[in-house]
Amino acid sequence: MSVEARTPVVVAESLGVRFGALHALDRVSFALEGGTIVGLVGPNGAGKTTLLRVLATLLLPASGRATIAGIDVGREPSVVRSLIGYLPDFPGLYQDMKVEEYLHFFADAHGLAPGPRKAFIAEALEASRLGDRADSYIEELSRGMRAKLSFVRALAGDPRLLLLDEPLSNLDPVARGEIMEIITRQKVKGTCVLVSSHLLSELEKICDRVLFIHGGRLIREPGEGEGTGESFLVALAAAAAGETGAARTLAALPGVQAVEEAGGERRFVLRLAPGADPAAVLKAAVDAGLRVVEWRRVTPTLEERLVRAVKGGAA
Amino acid sequence: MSLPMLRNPILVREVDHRMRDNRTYAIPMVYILVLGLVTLAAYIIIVQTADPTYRAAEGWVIGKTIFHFIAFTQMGLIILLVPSVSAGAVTGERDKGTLPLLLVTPMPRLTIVVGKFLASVLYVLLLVSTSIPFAALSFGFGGTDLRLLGLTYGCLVATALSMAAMGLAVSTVMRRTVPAVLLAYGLVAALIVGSGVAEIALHIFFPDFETILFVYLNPFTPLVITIYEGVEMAQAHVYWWITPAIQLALALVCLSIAGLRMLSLRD
Repeated sequence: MSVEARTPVVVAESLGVRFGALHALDRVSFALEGGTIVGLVGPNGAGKTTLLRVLATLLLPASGRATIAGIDVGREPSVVRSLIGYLPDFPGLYQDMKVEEYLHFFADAHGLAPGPRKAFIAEALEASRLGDRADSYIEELSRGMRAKLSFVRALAGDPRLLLLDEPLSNLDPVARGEIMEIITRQKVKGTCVLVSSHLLSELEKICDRVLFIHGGRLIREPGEGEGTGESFLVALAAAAAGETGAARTLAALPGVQAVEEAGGERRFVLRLAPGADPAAVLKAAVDAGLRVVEWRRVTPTLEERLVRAVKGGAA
Repeated sequence: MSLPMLRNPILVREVDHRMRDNRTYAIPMVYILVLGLVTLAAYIIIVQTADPTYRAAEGWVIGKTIFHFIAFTQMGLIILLVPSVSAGAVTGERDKGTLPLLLVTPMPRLTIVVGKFLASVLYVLLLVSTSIPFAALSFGFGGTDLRLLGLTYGCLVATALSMAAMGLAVSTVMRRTVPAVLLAYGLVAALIVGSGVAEIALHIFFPDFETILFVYLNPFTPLVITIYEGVEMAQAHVYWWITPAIQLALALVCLSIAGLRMLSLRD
């Protein structure tokens, strides 16, 4: 990866946005590098769209600052706009335009000269697989085609930062797959992609990193930043006579950092301390009188991580 | 128009959009139909009411009457049509969900304002130009001259510019199209009706005030003045050019408001 790609493209420092009494964003800070796909996940109303709108120069932060490629979003929005591509959650389309005209229009709006404009249109049509529909009116396109067209429109001007608000929603798996493929291509080109979505299973396939946001604040997963070892699912047989507090027993084992119920009776997820030996932990559990019937390594899904972060995460 | 202005993507898009809209062709058709009926009505009225001592109304009277009928009708049509066209210029983008897409492009915000304004004005000029054959008809009868023609069309264009700019300013202030159009028509009504009421009040409270003041805001005023031109208007200190001058100033103010609003507009 190039040095440029590793230089932070986006730096947010203590961003704050208020809507009346509501803190839509509260002291949000992060840095994102080029050539990475970063998921922005959180419950509805968490502040995802607000954060994307601030970075897209559509909303002024009440406090803090954000820079894109070193340019202050609040002070030099017109410069920032030449560095970003933005896909809102409900992107409008000019229904009376043809596909190619639409791309031509936004290429012009980005001030592209005839050569780059032609290249952009060709690339966008190829990436969206709409080449054979270039002469079709947008109103004649299917929902998936429109979504792809909206998406590739955001690539005009070869942005260094792509801000995507729910680009995968309301699409069939094929269209989702095609859009994820285009997102991945942008990463390879060195673009930083910040993408919000509720389709976490899809998002985790392409993301290098995830920002969890809740109540306008970025939150960390429990244990994040403290160093976390592997996680194991432990299923225990029915409690033996006199046995109480299996969870407490598991938590007290050497090398165990945290214990969470994993749904179902006597099923737990153990998160081990960094460097802990799983075999030693298992032996300790057996020695402690627990009848272990299942022991397997687990990787928490993004959805599980989100739930864990929202329930027990720290700001 | 400078070259960059001709390359204005918003203007190109708006013109394309209008050319694909059936209303773009239907409205001029209705416009021409109305003007045709008005011309015919003016001819019939003047011939029927001609002085019986003459065998027929004199040609110059017919020509002048037709011309004034056309001018008043056009002014009315411009006042009726332009606010509805321009007041939805920005709110329409918001309604469609395309405004954020425009706002995040590096395109200068003033390009959007100028493009929207010119698109509205060009459409109105298209309408106004369709009346030229009718004006030519009045020339055939006599009674009009190039000065009156230029003066009248100048007033029509000044009104179109001010109405388009006012509608655009309203469109940048309001969030939705329907309230924006209603507000634009409210402002037009204030200019026409409100100025008349204010004028009456002025002369009631200041009976010694001998000339007119507030009715200069009314777009019809210069057309009325031109009818009575030569009937000692100058002695009464009444001048036709004041209204278009006010309208051009109003257009500049409204365009400035629209420009400033666009600069600060986030979405």
